Amino acid sequence: MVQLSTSDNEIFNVDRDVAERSVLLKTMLDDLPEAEENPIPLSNVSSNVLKKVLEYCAHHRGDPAPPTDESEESRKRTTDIGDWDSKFINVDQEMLFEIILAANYLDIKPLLDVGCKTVANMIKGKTPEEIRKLFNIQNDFTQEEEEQIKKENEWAEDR
Amino acid sequence: MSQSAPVQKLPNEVVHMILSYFNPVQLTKLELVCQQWHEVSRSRETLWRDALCDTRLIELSKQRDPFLHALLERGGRKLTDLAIEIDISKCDLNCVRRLCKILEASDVRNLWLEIMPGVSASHSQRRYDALIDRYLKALGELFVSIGNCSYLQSLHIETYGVFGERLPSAMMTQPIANCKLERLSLKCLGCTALFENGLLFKMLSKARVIQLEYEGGAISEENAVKLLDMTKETLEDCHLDIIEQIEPSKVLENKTIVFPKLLRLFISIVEKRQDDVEEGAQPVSVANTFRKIQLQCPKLRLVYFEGKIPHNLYENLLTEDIEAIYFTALDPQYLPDTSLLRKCTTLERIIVQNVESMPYIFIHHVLTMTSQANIKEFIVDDDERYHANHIVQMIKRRQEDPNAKDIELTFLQGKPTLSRQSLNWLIGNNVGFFHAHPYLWEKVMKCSFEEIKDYIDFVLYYSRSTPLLDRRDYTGVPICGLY
Repeated sequence: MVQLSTSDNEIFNVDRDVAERSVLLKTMLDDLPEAEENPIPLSNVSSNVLKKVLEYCAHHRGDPAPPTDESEESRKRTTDIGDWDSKFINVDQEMLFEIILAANYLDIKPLLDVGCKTVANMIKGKTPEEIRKLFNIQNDFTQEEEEQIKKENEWAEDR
Repeated sequence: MSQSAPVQKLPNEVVHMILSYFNPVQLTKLELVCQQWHEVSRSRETLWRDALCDTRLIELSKQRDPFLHALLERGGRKLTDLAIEIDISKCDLNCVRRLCKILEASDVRNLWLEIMPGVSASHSQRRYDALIDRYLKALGELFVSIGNCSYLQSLHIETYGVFGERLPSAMMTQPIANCKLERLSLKCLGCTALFENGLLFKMLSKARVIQLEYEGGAISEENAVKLLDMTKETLEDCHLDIIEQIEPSKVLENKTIVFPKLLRLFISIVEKRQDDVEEGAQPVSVANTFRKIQLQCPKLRLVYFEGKIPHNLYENLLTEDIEAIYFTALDPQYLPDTSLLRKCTTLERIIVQNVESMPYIFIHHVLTMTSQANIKEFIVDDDERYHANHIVQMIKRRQEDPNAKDIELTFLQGKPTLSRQSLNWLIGNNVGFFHAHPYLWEKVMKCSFEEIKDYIDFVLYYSRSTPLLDRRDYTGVPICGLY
């Protein structure tokens, strides 16, 4: 058993193989034997997000370890997501981005992939304006900047 | 700034991951979303490289080629991987020349090229001739450019349909000097023009080819030998997948080719499909080619045989240093003399695929003749009907022989129908084995996976061929590999 403490000071008791889905935690547990006795502080992750992340880790606890080298190259470039994963990631936007941030911080590559694919699927086929609206992003370009980019990208326009 | 939307908390590397799912043209839209996305889209070299990889194959076309523009505008010298599909009936020589320019200006390392003349039976003779002419010119120009790609390491060429025509003679004088190719893969290169004009050989003259793949095309004896001759010094990995030749070619002298570095050899010689054979033409066996050629490969460790393998090849290749042998779909009259296997004392792996095409006395011989080798894995694949029980009997007999060395693991793959008795023996003797998917245990073996799972060393999960069950139904079983 491993203890994890969240940013809002909640303590989670987790099986070691579940915790080790996180490369960060695995490295910590391997390198620091005393980490097993004291709660590991995860100051960037709140309890409701960690709960979600651990749900993912528990479901995928038996998965074969992803290849460590060349994982970037072998990563399948499709945006398909498995059934369980897509149900899992069907959350509100704020939670989605929190999960992505947590997966990035904890170094859980498959979860990060699921999150990024979900975002990619959300923006697929949308105009910049629609994407801004979807994510509530302020347009931070000046008129001139926007014109400049459009001009540079004229080659890609359908005519 | 209080307006920070959740998405804007993402660090650049995560935005990069998200954008990497889009191709260059889609990216021109996405970079208009906000400053951060723009910055990521423009600054990350890999984004362009990966996106290009992802859009394989980019189709070259006459009207507008936004991708080619993208390559020019953004790729520049960052371009390292490129996959292009060219249908000559859909683009003109100018498109091809533009591509050539990009190639020469790029740092392309891996190039995948599919080029087709795009001719069909409905074309008039004039249109046909024009397309073939354009195709040959395009091929010639591309080859010259490829030869000038000084960073090119890996080249894959796939082409169909045109046989025998010659490239324009002007191509012959073009210098092909800089190519440092390490991996060459030629697929279905029925287009003998490349060989006849020596273009390919010219390109290879300075290359140091480590990996050679030749798949699915007829090749004359002379050219096959030349191809091997030119790459023999550096070759480590060789994959020859040859279809029998129609035209009889020159009969060669006896010849020995030495491959000092070759580690893996895949050799397959198969018959031309009947519908491909032109009327009146007599298939001539390519196997004759290798009957006159002795291949010497002192470093060879892994060898794969398929089809009509001439006997002398077995004699050359089955040496005591071989660690793994694959036999697959061998024509019964071209099976090796199994006594040759006696030499292979360091053998660790035997894989017999497509058992049905071979008499199982062959498998018996394989097992007996290798009785002194420390075989770690004995794999029988694609065994659908009746062999499995016999094979178990054979292993049993071998294990009972006090002089024979044990086989560590036996794998039966495909859909073996085992009797309960054979299964019990396998379990009782702790012979490790696996099966395509737990699902098949229940459907084919008529026993519950639960009953036997504790005896199984590991399960290989075939995600693509058997999507019927969720792998998580069997969490108790360690899963060793993904296919």
